[in-house]
Amino acid sequence: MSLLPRRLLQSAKSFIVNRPSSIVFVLVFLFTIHYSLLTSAVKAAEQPNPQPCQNAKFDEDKLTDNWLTQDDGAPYITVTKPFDDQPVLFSFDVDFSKLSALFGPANSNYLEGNFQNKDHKAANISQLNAVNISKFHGVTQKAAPKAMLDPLKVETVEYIYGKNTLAESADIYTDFNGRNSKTIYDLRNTFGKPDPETQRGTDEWENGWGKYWDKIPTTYSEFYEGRIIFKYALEADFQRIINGENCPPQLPREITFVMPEFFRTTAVTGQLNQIIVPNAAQSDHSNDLVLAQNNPATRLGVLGKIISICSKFLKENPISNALEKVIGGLPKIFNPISNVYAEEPQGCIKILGPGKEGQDPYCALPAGQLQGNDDCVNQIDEFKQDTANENVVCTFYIEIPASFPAGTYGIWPVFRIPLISETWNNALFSDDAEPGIGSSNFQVTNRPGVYSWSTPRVIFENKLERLLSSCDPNVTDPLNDPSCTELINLANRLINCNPEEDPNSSSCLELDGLGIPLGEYDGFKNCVEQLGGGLQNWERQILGCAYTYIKTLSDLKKEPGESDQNSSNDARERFVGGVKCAGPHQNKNVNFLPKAAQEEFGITNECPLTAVSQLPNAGSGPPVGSPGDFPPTNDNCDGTYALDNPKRNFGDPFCDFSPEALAQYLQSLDPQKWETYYDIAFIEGGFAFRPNDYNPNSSNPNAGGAWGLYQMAQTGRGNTQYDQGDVYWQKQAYNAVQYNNQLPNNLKWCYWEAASPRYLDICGRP
Amino acid sequence: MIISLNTIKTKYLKIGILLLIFSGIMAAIIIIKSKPQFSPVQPKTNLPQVVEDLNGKQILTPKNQRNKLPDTAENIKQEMIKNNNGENKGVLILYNTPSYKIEYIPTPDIFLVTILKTPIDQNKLAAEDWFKEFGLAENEICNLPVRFSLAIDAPDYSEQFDPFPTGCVNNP
Repeated sequence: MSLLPRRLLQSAKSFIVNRPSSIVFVLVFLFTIHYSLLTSAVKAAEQPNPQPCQNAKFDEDKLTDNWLTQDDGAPYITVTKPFDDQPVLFSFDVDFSKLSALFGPANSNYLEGNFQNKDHKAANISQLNAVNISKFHGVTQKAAPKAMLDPLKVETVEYIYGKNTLAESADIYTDFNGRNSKTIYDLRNTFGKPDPETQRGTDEWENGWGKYWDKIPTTYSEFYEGRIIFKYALEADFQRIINGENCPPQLPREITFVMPEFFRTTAVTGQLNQIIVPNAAQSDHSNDLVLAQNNPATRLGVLGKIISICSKFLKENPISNALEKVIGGLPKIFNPISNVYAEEPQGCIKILGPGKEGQDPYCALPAGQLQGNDDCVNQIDEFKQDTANENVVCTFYIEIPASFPAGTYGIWPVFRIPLISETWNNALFSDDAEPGIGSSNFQVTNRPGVYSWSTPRVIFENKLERLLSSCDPNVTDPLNDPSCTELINLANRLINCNPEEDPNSSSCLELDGLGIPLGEYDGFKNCVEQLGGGLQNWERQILGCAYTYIKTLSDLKKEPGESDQNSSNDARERFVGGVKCAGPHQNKNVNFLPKAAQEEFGITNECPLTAVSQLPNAGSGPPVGSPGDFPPTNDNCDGTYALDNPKRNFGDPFCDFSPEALAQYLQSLDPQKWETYYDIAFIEGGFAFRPNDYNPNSSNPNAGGAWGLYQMAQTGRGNTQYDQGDVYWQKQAYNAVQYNNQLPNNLKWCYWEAASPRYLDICGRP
Repeated sequence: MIISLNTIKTKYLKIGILLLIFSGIMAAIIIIKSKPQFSPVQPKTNLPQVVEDLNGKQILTPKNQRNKLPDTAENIKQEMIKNNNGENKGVLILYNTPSYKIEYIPTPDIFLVTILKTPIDQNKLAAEDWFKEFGLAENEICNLPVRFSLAIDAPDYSEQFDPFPTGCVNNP
């Protein structure tokens, strides 16, 4: 043995004998060093263990308060506390199955495509043609550049990989052939962290992540906590609070609930805002939700908290109306004296109008929220995420504590909803007259939300302004200027629009396409007629008329997403996906789809079509009020309807009809007799539900035929206003119920042959 | 001729009474004749020819009036619902063939079989067999409840159709 090894051996022997504890240290070091070499993400990754509705995030900065008030902002509940030293209880019912859908209208599926749908993740897309590939990708992934999508997808993969309790952590993705099923966890372990920027084009990518990349969503579904709190005030302070002069305190009781889809909806609206809207016009700091989520440096940049929460009594308050459904009617109050006040409404927030409620994924009441005599009943349906949780429709007993002084208390239940103002900020047209929507720095007028992307040509090709600015009527020979001749031609064309006679005339469509609300604008015609004969320079004067007229129209033009303040459809028109009709603007499909694809999908420039956000599932129906009127379309809803009637698709223009949707809607209209109305529709349709049915040989020769589910009259030709069947299916059902309700008992149901003795035998039986 | 007061009273009183009775009868006949006869109310719709007489049977028995399913049938029902093949506007798709499709509609809690092609009876039986393969008896299929809908493409199709399954023959 050489000298050096011998010395090393001796040193080692002496080290072992003299310092045995050091040996333990060295061994521990050797066995654990590999942990420190791995990234934190890998350390966090564990097998998928989905726990929907568990581990929800709570971030007070992302909560928006939605006050439940009387229409005038007065307290929703009034409770008298007779004695100083005794508590008073009132009951408060909440249906958590409806709460999420109410606040989370399902725009994310519409905007992002069906990336969260399990069928979508497992689809075979290798055989799809270009049109269907486009459809598969959905709006965001179709329109956005890879440079934007890739980082979002990478972040999504990493987040799901690192958070194995997410509901989607166990979802299966297949490759583009619909084979080789893997979870994100499997993919990440097999192929490593995706790096499309450097890997794309290599064999590693093509045989790995590349086969799945088209199916990876740009965001994930995160669960957030919301709160129900109860603001209170003594009667003497009501008016000050309604006026926004005072912010009421809250009762001690606070109820926590979990909202599933909000993060995703917000993230997707932000992405769309980023894709479509020029940088200068983008929402304030809201576009980077996914990337900013786990980055402490940017976290504060994501929208600040809403200020002045006390001022958010809702104006023309459809959410209050809708919330009433969620809370199951007026609460029972123990020791009650109910008052109804009638002050003027106060508030500024614009909220989603009625018609967007539906069913969305929801979480039942989290554990630990029931107190005292609180009680819940279960509901089993496909939307409940935490299927084992039986606390769905709950009655809470809220206490005004004994220590509070006696008196009459006004209670405003407040639903503190996560992320909703961020969504609005991304999606609504902005107006500086509306502080409180989303941004702590207030809004900038004309800063469009996502909605604007449906009419880019109005933004970027403002035809009227271009003509007005390039034509100068004062030059020597203005009619040599093509802009000026075009002005006159345009004026000539537009004066022929008479929307009362034919809103679909080419002149009206041209006005509509220019973003000008339809109306009778005869300024040009009058001006020309007033010129009289013997003009020295009639061409120049006609040009003057045309110029003035077009300038008037230009002033009337609405910016994208803008609608008349305080119009009944204001909120709806301003919200992407919240529109039943794209208002004065075209729908997005017309602008974004190639012509061939438009024809393939039956998309025309007419109003509603697929621009409407389709609820993924049947909705609980709009509030019990008359549904809107919507023009018919030519859409056969993927071949569902033959459309062999003069009005084509009058009954299901949004393709949202289903036997389930009808059942839910009828149930909301008449909870006692809805099944009979269901039967009648089924029988009148020849043992089928036919919202587009038409029978020209109605037994009433003056009725203009029998239309729709209930075979009622053509508009304007029925016995009463409700005898009307050639309308949207919800209105058909609504009309049927209203018509029958107005009949005397001995004629109830007798309108329909289905009620006669040969069939249901209920004619004259109330 | 001597006419005593008594005779007048007796004779003319009798005639008067008879006249009164006769007038009353005539008046009653006129009133009865002039009163409109009861007639059934004429409905304002005409049902398609395919609609078979129901004789007062409801198609959709309200949930609170339904017979409770035996536990085994209830379990089978829940299993069928759970194993759905997807969902479309709130309707759960259970089975799809070119001739018929089977769906579950949650709110009314019914299984709706839509017959898409002729021969109707054969396709109805095939759909019923699908339920029987799960172990359900005919009356259980009726009470599940299963109902049949008609969506035949042929516009002139007019044969009468029974929306109830075979097992509902004797059920009101």
